[in-house]
Amino acid sequence: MLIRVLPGSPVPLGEQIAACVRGAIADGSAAPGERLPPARQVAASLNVNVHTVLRGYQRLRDEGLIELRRGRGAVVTTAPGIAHRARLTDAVHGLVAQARELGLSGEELLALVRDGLAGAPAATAEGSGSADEAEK
Amino acid sequence: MNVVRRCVLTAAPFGVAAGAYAAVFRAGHDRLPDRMATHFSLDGTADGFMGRTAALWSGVGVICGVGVLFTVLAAVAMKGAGARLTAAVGAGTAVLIGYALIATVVADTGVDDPADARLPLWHLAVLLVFVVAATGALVWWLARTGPRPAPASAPPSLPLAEGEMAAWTRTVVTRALLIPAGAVALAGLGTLLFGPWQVGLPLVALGLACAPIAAVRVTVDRRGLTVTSTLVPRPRLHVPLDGITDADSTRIDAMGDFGGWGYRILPHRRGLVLRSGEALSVRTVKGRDYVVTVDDATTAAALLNGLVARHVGERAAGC
Repeated sequence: MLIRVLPGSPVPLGEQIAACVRGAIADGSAAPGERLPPARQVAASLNVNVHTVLRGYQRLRDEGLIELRRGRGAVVTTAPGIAHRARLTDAVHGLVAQARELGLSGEELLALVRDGLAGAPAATAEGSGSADEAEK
Repeated sequence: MNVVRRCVLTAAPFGVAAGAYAAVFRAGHDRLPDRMATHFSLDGTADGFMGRTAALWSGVGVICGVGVLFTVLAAVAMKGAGARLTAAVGAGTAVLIGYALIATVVADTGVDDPADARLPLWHLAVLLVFVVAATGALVWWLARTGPRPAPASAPPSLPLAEGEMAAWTRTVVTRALLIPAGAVALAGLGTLLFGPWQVGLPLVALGLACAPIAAVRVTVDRRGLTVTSTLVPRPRLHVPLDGITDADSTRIDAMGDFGGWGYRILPHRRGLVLRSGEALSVRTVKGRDYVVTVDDATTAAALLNGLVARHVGERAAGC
């Protein structure tokens, strides 16, 4: 797993770390059930604060991509379709960044997404099932 | 060094040892007791005995058996360096076994009661260290191979921005090692509890010594290359960024390149070899190669080359 961060960037370091790990889950180089490197080790490697790394890990946990357990560290979620989910989350972050570049407010972006959802065919249980199949 | 020459070179010392043993046995046959002392305790007194004919054949059997084992290992090693190591260790082993057996016959020659036979062990040990080391070195030299071929393509490099921090990390879990290591440790523990502790303790130690390298984490970052066990902080292998000239991803063959698995030490080449296949190879300014078998080694090598290039650039600008 390759983690690259640029301290001068407007994106917070924790978010940059989260993006790298998300990318690794998305392209399969961090497999479901794999243990992520301990936050302390990542912090030492990148010369950043441990809390910065933990913020990144917590972001990934909030997105449902990893599980944080006391004593066991961070583990990639074993739920089916986790790589697809990571790719989707990655795309959402890309969408947000693009909206910010264009100067769109959060409300405006949400309105766009809502419109998009309204136009799309309704989600079915089979739809999510096929995504799981593809993952296997 | 082709397969035939390699096998002959490995088998020859064992043939010589078996021949010498049989010759010494034959020469002293009339002066040997019917029941020979064949095992000696640490103070040099005899504590194991065997019939004369049985002693001869078991001695020859041991030499030939170990010889066949080493010859097969040398034949299996497809490439030079591993076969060379096998041949050298084999020659040393042949001398060791041959010397011990011949010394036993000499100790038995001319004694009426085998219990009177004496073999001063410390004297033997000192001699063995020199003779075994010399033979091993000689065969190592005889089995030398040509220079290693230069890498075909330019090593990968990942350009890094100024101030950018980057790290690559990956774990290597060897279940093939974890399970036997656990089994050996458990067997040792059982022996320790219910059997002789002299047998149990080495088994426990062996099992515990193998356990740390069954799961290792390989990390490449601003400090260089670090390999640690995921279970315990020590032992660890660290190659500082300062001392690295370049890195590359290579494919290695455990038997052929290193003569086996584990932490292997060869001249100018050291490696943590847990399997055959993709490996990260790091060259130091002292001309030594460090090799670690790990997946996605290309990314690791590219990052290390990027870090080294930036480090060299920064140092040049600083001067």
